Amino acid sequence: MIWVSRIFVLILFFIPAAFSMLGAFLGSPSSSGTGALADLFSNYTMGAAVLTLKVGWVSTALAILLTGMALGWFRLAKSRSQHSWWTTGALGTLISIPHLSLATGLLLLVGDSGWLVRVLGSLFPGREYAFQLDHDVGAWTLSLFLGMKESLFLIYVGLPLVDSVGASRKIVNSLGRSNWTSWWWVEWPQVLHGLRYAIWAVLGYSICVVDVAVVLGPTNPPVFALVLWDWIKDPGESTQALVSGGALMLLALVALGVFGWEGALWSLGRFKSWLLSKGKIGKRPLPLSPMLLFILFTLILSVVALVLWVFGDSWTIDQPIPPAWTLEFAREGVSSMRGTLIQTLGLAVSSALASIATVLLWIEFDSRAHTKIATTAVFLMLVFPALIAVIGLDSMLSRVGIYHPSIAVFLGHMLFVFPYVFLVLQQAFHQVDPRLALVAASLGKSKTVFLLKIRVPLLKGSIAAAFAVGFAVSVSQFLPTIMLGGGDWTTLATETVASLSSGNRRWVAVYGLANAMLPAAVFLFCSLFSQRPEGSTCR
Amino acid sequence: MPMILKNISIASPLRILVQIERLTIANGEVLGVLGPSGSGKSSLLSYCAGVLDPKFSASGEIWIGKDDETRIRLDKQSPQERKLGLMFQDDLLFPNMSVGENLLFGMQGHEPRATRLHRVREMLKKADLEGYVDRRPTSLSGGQRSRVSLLRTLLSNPRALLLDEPFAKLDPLLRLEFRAFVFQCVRDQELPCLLVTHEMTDLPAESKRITVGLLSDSKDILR
Repeated sequence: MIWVSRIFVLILFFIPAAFSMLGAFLGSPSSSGTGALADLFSNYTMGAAVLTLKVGWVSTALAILLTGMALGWFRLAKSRSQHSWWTTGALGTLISIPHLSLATGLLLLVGDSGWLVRVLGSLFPGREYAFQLDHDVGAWTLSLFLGMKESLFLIYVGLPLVDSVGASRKIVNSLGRSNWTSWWWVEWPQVLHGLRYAIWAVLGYSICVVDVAVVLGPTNPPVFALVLWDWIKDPGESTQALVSGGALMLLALVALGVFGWEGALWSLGRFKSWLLSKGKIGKRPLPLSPMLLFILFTLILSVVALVLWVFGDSWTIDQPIPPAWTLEFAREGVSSMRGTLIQTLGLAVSSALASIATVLLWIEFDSRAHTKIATTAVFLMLVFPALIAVIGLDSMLSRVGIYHPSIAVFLGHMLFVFPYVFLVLQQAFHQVDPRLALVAASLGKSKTVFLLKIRVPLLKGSIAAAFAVGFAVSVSQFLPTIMLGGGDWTTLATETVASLSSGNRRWVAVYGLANAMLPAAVFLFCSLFSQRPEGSTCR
Repeated sequence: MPMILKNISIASPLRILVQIERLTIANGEVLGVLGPSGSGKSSLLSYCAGVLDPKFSASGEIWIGKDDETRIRLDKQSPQERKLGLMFQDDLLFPNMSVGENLLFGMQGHEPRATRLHRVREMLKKADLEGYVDRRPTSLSGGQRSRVSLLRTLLSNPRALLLDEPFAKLDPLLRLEFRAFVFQCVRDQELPCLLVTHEMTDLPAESKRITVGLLSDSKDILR
């Protein structure tokens, strides 16, 4: 059994992960021509690179600020139990909605002749309102959106950390300092330390994101990932070298981003030390509730905007809401996307289930030491930028010569689903009393029997949660699907991006909404199972 | 400034834990609160500091000050306004700050930067910790950490000290040493001090002591 489980993880995760990293560094098979260098370092790409770093830093800084406020609020809230259902439920659902869907929703909300324009136009007629996001040269919309959406992820990761913070607030109070001072000076820095790798992941994501940048980003210059994406789509021989050079450059941007962030953090530490020595320790909390509510509101309105465009009928630009409603477009959409839906579901279900089975088998049978190494590898994969991983996997698979679109797409999805499923399950796994396994063994039961009869039933809730997470991660994958699938695979994510170029808002909304609803529904359904089973010996 | 506890009563949902009619702790005096675990010793301390778990019901007055005119009533104030230095058996140094930053964090007042830094260095010197300003708390020994945490409390200019089994986690030799250091500081700074412990030997020989939760009807003995 132990070998079966090891071979499983190796084939499904570690070899592809190693491939993708190796491939990213080695470059593509036909690296040729140095003429690419000129293109690689042109003014255009340099402008894109600078813009990318700005997007990465602005969005990450915003996400961290929001996370600090929200977590401080949770920490200081008197009765946390009241919030807990609400927060994990609402937060989880919003997180499970792919970036791409929320971004299309936001586009329909604030974009050219979007909802906001229509509301303003009907309130104050006679003026022209135009918001053209592709002329947003500073990429502010993109940065703000990424900051908002990523803050949800950081809050989710940070919530359990908040409870484990050392040094109690009683002490701070007895030193004559307020609760908020305690949060910002003592508790939050510790949480921030625990969030370090999650923050790297957020930075990497913001710097490498393609699908959201297509929706909300500027076009001249676009962010660097889009420049690279254009090169990838161009099948010419000469661009091969450009692609591998670009992948390396993107990797360098991520490294620079992380480096800059760590530097900023260090300077902040110096600055705080100086403030302490001056005795300038603030008393006031930052104004948080309005800002947090604004963000929640914006994200929810983005989803509503999708709904309006799917079900609204004959909506003209001077009307704040659609005058009539229809099911026609939804029906038409569903019938035309049947094939896409099946492929999306197939990929998501298979990669989530395969990840769950692999993780369970592997943690159960392999030694603790091995799983420790694996945790590091998994974290590395979370931080490693997706675009580069996919380029690497692509080039390695074709180099080895086992290229088949279905296998490639499946492995590509596993690359991203597996780490998240691993994280969810691993935590729950160690909450089951380890002595139970000893008792079962002393009763003459094999490990397999223990896994199936005791462990899986005990972990039912967590397995449901892991499935929801894995499903959502797979549904949100745009790059692995389109790059590795070689055009054979269409999912809701790829179709949403494709619908953007059609310029038809209604199609954008139909695909965006479907792409949002599918993982959210699965998440809500799974959360019904996520309650802790009665009578379990969970510590 | 002496501290006065008046008509204090603390009860858990099950029983009365502490009842005190009137008790004065003079400057530089240590009042020992003795009793077995679960007797409500720490609850008394938490009540004084204003951080008692709301599942307990508690009432009573806490006053601090020399005479009737200048006396301040603390039990209606928020924990940070009371300025009672609280210490636990764990040193609870802030792990994200250096030793010096820990001390600076608690320091009140608006003196210039140089003065503040100087006071920190002086304090560290007094505790045989010269040159430890930039060290991380994790790199200190248990005894050193305890001393830093006491210094941090003292630098915040507390009106009184509330010590919750401050010696419990130290080994016998360190315990002796740190105990002497604490009582020296209490005398030097003329602070009233409430010390919770379950070991008689943790208290100075001459100190007043009360016992909580020993009798079946949970009445306190005032000796």
